[in-house]
Amino acid sequence: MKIVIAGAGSVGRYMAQELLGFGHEVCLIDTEASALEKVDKSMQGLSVSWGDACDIATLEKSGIAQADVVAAVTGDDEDNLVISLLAKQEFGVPRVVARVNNPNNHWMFNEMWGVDVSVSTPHLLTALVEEAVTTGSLVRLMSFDRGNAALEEVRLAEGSPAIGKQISELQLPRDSTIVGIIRDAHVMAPSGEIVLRANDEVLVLLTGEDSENAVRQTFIS
Amino acid sequence: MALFKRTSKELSQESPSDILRAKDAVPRVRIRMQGTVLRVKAKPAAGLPTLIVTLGDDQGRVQAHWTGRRSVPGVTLGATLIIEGVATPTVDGLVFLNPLCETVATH
Repeated sequence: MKIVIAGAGSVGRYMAQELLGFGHEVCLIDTEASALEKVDKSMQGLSVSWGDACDIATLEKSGIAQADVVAAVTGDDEDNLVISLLAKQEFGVPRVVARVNNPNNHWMFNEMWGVDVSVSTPHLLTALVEEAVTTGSLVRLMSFDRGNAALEEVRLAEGSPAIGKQISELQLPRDSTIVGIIRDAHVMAPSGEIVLRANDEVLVLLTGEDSENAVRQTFIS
Repeated sequence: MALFKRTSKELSQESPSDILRAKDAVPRVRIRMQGTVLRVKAKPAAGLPTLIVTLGDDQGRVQAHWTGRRSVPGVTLGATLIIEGVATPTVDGLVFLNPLCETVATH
């Protein structure tokens, strides 16, 4: 796949290195020549483009018209939004991923600005910390499909109504599915015969607020 | 967004090869295409304001999304439009985000 990364800071450079390692073709764009100088240009499949990624001419030069994915990961939220909108509106890029720097701006990173997936480090950290310290509440780990689908996790508390029930007995809504159970540091596939126990970590994939409420009622007293 | 009316006579003076039908629309390339508005959907007040229009004919359909608005003057069911933009391939077919739009007089 061809991936264009706007922003050659530490995040962009790390992403480029990893993605090249997976065999993808990567183009890095940055306005700062000094940032591009830090890039190891000997890596196969890597190209760099010096210029403003908010400028259509620079994007064209980077080969965005053939890109499968664009990642707007500059340190500036306004730039990331403009790059995302241009990528989607002017070049029809199928997948646009944008980095949120200031969590207060997270609400803007949606399809109105051409963003398919937004990544907010503060939100991710909060979710992971919450997941680590809470028992008996539903924690959203990740969002997919423009925020419509979510991967949520619940560690079953002693009083959970799901304890002692087989997975097949749970009244889960149609728009949800259990994708895995972690018990005593082991991953278990969610077959219908498994009887849930206290302290099981249940991972649920779901869409919609109604499903989320129904899942909450299923696992939390 | 450019929005203005032209007569079919004026349109006929343009090269027909410039204006595609929905079935001939291709993704990732700037194109102009003409079609009839088959469906108009506005996101509800609680959602992000977006006007979603299905455009085409009995042989093909595309979608046009105009963000930040719930209506566009002249874009009504049955209206003939020419849109210009770059389509993104999606699971719902080709989607134009904020394309240029012209309404076409049918008489």
